[in-house]
Amino acid sequence: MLFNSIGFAIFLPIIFFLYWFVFTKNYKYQNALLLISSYFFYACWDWRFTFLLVFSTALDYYSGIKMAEAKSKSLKKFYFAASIIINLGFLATFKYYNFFANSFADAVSHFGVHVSPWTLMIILPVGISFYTFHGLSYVIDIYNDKIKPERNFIDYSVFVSFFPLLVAGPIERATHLLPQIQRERTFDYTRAVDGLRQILWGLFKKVVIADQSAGFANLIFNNSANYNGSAHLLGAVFFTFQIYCDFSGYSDIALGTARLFGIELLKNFAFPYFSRDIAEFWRRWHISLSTWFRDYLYIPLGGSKAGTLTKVRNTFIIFIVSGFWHGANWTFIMWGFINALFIMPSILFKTNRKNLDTVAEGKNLPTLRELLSILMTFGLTVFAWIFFRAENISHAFDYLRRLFSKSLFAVPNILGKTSAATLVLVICLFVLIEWFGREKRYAIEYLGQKVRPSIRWAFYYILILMIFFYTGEKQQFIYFQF
Amino acid sequence: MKRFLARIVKFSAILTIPLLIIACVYMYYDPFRIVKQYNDYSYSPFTLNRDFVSTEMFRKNNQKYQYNSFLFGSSRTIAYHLSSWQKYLPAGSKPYSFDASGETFWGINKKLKYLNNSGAKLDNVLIILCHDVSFSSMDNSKGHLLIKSPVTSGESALTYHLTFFKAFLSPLFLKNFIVYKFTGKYDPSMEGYVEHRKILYDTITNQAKILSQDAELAANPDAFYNKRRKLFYARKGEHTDSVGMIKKDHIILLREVAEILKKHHTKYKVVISPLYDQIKFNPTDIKILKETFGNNLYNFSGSNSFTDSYRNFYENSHYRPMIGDSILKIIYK
Repeated sequence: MLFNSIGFAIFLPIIFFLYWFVFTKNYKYQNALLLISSYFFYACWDWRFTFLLVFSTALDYYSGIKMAEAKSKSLKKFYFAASIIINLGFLATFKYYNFFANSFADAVSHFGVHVSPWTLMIILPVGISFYTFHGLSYVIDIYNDKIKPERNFIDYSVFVSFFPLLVAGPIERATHLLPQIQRERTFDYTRAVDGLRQILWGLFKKVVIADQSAGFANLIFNNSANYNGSAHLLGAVFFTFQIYCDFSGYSDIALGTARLFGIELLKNFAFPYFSRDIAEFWRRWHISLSTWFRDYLYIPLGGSKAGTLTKVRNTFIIFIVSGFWHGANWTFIMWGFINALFIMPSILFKTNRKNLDTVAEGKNLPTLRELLSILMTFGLTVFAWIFFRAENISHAFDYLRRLFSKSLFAVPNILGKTSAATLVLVICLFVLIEWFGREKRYAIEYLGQKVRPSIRWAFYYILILMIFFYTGEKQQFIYFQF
Repeated sequence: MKRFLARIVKFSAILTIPLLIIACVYMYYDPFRIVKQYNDYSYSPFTLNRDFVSTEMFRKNNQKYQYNSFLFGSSRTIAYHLSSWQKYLPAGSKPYSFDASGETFWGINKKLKYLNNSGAKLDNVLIILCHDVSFSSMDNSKGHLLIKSPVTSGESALTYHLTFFKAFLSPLFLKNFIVYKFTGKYDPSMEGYVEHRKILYDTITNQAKILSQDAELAANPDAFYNKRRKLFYARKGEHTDSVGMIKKDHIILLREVAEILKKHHTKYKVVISPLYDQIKFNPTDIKILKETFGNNLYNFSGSNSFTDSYRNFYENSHYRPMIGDSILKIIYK
């Protein structure tokens, strides 16, 4: 079930009604309802994979308890290792097996040995990367004695499979989400309205910006030979907005939906395209994943406390692993590698924590220096996204070759120039709204605080009508494939 | 909670009441001919969804005519007259044009599955592919002119009808609809919204014919092409797409189609269209198609005697029936 589907528009009010009207007296019943509805939500894709979800949940739940009860350190280590190996084993099988098999065949073919890789006809279970990482963080935290294991299986299962975050995050931490599940929740009018507002903004980002940008980006990326340099630039910029609005739109809907049920999820995006350097971009992009890698990979590897060489090595490892997390394709690895290269100067010159605040805080406009930094960072991210979007590495280089040609300065030779120009205009307005809302949790949060109700409602109606007009057949969210 | 629900109701009412009034107008006039039942879709004043027409005509007429030969493809199938095709088919064949605007292989796959599931005979099949549309998407097409009928796609009928209603609500369509309804006259500014061409859909074979275009061309070919000179842009010569269009999921669709054709012992041909842009079908894609369809595949893409002269085309997209006739002659040699 997609957030931008009629099914979800029916599902959500039903669960909301049952949650606040039928099961309101006991939070344990509410948790049971959340669990059943989450499994139903997941089963709408493919009910067979709910068994995998149940297994993964049960594995981490029992591993956690067994680790806490283990009488010796070696036994604790055993349960920990078993949980990690099985979790990663599932991920490797479903997500990476074919990639490794094909890459091995390609590699040995360079030495004249031709093998037909034995690949599996397997479907990638939606959200596997997300719920596996949920479970991993829980198990690692228990192993490191940071948290106590959860004894209530329903509560733990809700933590793993709460439907707003189940398929594409945010990747929650037990320390943040479990306490909210374990206590009573009361209905809060302001919070519920705020949740609806964030859902509306997320839908706008997904349906109006991401899906429309996808149309042009797909056309240009898939038919590269037909377009000139400036069209290639436009295609890359459209994809840059597509991926941001697709994923952050999803996160907004997830956070807004959770808020309707009285639960706060971790913030996943903080206006990353207004970053002044790549380090800042990575503090603002897919925050729950970046912090996950920081806490469970970067710091255990020595983090930034070791020497410069170790820091450089760790940075490359974390970016390449992050790229690989996105999918079994060399393009993602390359994307991670390029980002590691981009961040390297700030690591070497120790300027990576220079921009910790929000750009032009308390002001309407940035300084010229800030504006140039933002544009340069944006340009670098556009460049890196080309590798992320390309079908393969040679396609990416071919795309870049066509982009950096003489025709970069010609008029883009795309069909539907009026639609493209309209979309560019809508994107500009969107960027403007994001700019003025950049100090909030999401761009239009301030509407609920400062703007008169009549104007506020008119704005909501405009957003709804735009969503209504632009919505086509429901489009899958990009991050579902990861 | 009461305050919250009251607000939701009030907010929704302001939006839905005007929409309901417009919906009534839409259903009454039914500009896209998808709400009411029709026996003949010809000469519609508004552009119709060709896929819907093809699907509905089949559903209405199959029992009576017992079709057993099917032509699949985009609007470029207009070059393949069923009367020409029938010459190469066994006696008693009943051809039907199951084409759709901007037809994708996804659409062809769904149509063949639908025919297979509904027990239709698939004795002869002619599939027309094009490098620019056939493998351009892996799911249902977007927009009211291209979206596939829920009968074949299996997708939500509600979403389908909403797509048309949204197209009706588009300010530009609504403006042109109102002006046309009041004046009854076509104005060039209405192009794309009001259909000024006289399009005939054969009520038996579903073959589409743009009568006004054919008449204009027959009356004075020079004048026809002079008027459209700007459409025939300068070409780059033969070249190939850098990236193959056939993705992993397309291969599954191809295999499914091949399975259905094999199951029915269908005599089939798959033609890759000769197009004005002279883009050669991607070699990797050709290899995949060859693996699926073997010697039943015929590739006319790129630079060749069919694509060299602009006079073989109506405009820069659709080739003429004389080319279709020549192709039929070659593939049924």
